[in-house]
Amino acid sequence: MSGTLERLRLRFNPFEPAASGVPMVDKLWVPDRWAHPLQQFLDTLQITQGPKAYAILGEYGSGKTYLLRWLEREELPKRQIRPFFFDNPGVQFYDLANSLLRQLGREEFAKSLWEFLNPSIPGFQSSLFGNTFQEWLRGIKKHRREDEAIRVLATLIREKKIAEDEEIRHKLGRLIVETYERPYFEYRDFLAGRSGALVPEREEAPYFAAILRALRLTGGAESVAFLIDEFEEVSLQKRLTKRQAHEYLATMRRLIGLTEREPFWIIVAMTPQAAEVTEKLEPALWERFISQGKHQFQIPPLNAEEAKELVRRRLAAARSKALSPNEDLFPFPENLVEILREDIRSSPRRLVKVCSLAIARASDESVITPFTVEYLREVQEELYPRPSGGLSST
Amino acid sequence: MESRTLWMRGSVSFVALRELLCFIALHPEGIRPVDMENWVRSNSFLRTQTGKLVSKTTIYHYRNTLLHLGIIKRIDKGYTVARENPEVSLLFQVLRPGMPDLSIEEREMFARFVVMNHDCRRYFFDIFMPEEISEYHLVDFIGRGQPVAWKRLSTPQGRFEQLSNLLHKEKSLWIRSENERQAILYGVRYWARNQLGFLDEIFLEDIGGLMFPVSMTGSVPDPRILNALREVISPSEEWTILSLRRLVAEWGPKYRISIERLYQTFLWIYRRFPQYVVMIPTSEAFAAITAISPQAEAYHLRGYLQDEKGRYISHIRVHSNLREVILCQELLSV
Repeated sequence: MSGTLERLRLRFNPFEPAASGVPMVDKLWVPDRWAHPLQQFLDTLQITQGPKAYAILGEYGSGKTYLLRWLEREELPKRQIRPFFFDNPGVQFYDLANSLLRQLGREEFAKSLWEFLNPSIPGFQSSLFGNTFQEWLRGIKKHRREDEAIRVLATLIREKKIAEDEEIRHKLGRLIVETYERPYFEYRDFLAGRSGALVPEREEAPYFAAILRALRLTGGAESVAFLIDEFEEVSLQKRLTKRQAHEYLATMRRLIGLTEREPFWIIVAMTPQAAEVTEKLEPALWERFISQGKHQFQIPPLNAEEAKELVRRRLAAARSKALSPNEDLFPFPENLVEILREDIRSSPRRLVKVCSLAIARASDESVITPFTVEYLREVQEELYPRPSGGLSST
Repeated sequence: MESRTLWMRGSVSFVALRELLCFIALHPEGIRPVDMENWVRSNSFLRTQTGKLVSKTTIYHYRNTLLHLGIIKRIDKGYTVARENPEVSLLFQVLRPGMPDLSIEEREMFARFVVMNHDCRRYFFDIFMPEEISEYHLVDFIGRGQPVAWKRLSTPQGRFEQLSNLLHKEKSLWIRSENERQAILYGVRYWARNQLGFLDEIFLEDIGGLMFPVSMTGSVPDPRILNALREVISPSEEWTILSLRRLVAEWGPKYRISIERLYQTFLWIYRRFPQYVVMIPTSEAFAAITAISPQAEAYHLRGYLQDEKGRYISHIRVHSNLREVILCQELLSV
């Protein structure tokens, strides 16, 4: 393969065969037509009030995940916004809390909160419990001072303006102290009402707001952003119960409410149909979410120039040495985008898959470079054959 | 509502009605119910709409349906064909017993009887008709019937269904009893939609089941749909994204075209111009998000196009070049 790639003047195949997610190459690039609306939304909402929610709509393979990852890696950190990425989070509000805190890890979250609160237990010298988080936890456990430690933490949580509610402060204190025995989260920790749960019952939104404040304060960020991918895959099961459907809408309502009150952003990627159904189910909620259409972006299919730029940038990241501008698509011909079908070159996933297979197949020395029209069309038809008579309506 | 006028039942199969009718026609002197039952039992090919062998009750409903539709009549010795009715003579000209399905002519003739029936009109078809039309036939119903939505609603007295004309909201009907439900929602509506094919329906989350009259025949592709599609493709954007269900809700009632034929037209375009059409699938869980039973799920999903991989297609993306190529196809008189 390396000999083949040398022939193609590449160090590696820069196109992923599955073409989902993001590439392992340098900086992520998105076309200006994609970047500008999102940058504009972020610019505006950073200085004004209102729900900081945004919907990115696109078909499968249109680049929704890529765009979210671009926000996560490139755009949000520049603005002091701490991003968290979620894949189909589930219907319940605490499913999100579960995903979020598992993403951070219990020990990591508890430690950063502990460092921020910097607790001291009255009547004990600080050296008694040591200087590190683990030593402090061990000392608390050894001297059976858990209840007292939780009380102290709960007081500090209020003083540092993370939460006011007594139960929430207590739960967060427990979350820290009990990390010694169980340095990981379990799903049952997020089942409100269950004995030993780390989340309060019927206090989902204030609890979540407290977590967000903690994340912001401990991470030195101005705000926190949730990037939620595949929002329509709200459940892995085939059919939602009526209650689950209600919970899905309730979760959405609470999230939007949070974005109004907290330095918190939510950017959701979904299919156009998911947006359509949500709008039909709860028109008022949807209008509030997308701010009467202002906070909604339909990812446009790639135009010829953007498709060419995508291929060029991917190839450039894998070059062993730079090529002259008139052959920077090599081993593809310069007129690649005119050769490919419109439905292929307009879809990032399809385009990347075709390019990936074209390069992978080029191990056969008989494949001429730059790739010929016939070769590229053969690859394209193999991956995306023209429909025959196999479709039917229900 | 009077229970004796709510005789319509969805379990009645019109294929079975045809077979039974042809048997009754062999006995101009009249045939007793018990002989009908014996004949049906000995000819186990008679099935209900769900494919089950018929019970005594179902045979009663078959006979009762033919009687209420005015196709048979009661005489001293039992029942015989109402040959004095010219419509019945026309029906017999098209009947082809023994076939597994109804021919288009048979469907049309049975549909005429159903639409002409007083009870079927009173409880169902009248809601579709504009106020100024009191007398109508199948052709009028298909040509002038307006869209009607039905939805299950919670009231202080319980959960009931309401049917209402979308253009004239005052034309509505509440379904409050199981007898009414069986006769109207699962009786006449099923006959018109599933068996005779002059009504179609799509579920929309906001308005419920949208029902609209449709032509029983037509070409694929439908030139009116090709033309309408050409009109909605943006000339300024390279691609236009269209919601298939929105198109069904708009064009179905407007052009009186069935969902099947509408989708077949889209498939025709897709097969001819795959470079200009991208099918956009949806999540099945989301497509039926409000369904609380397998039956409801199937009902919600019937409004979606399903591809060979089993995916449910909610939207299509079409290229602006399609405007020109569709026009060429039209000129070539597809």
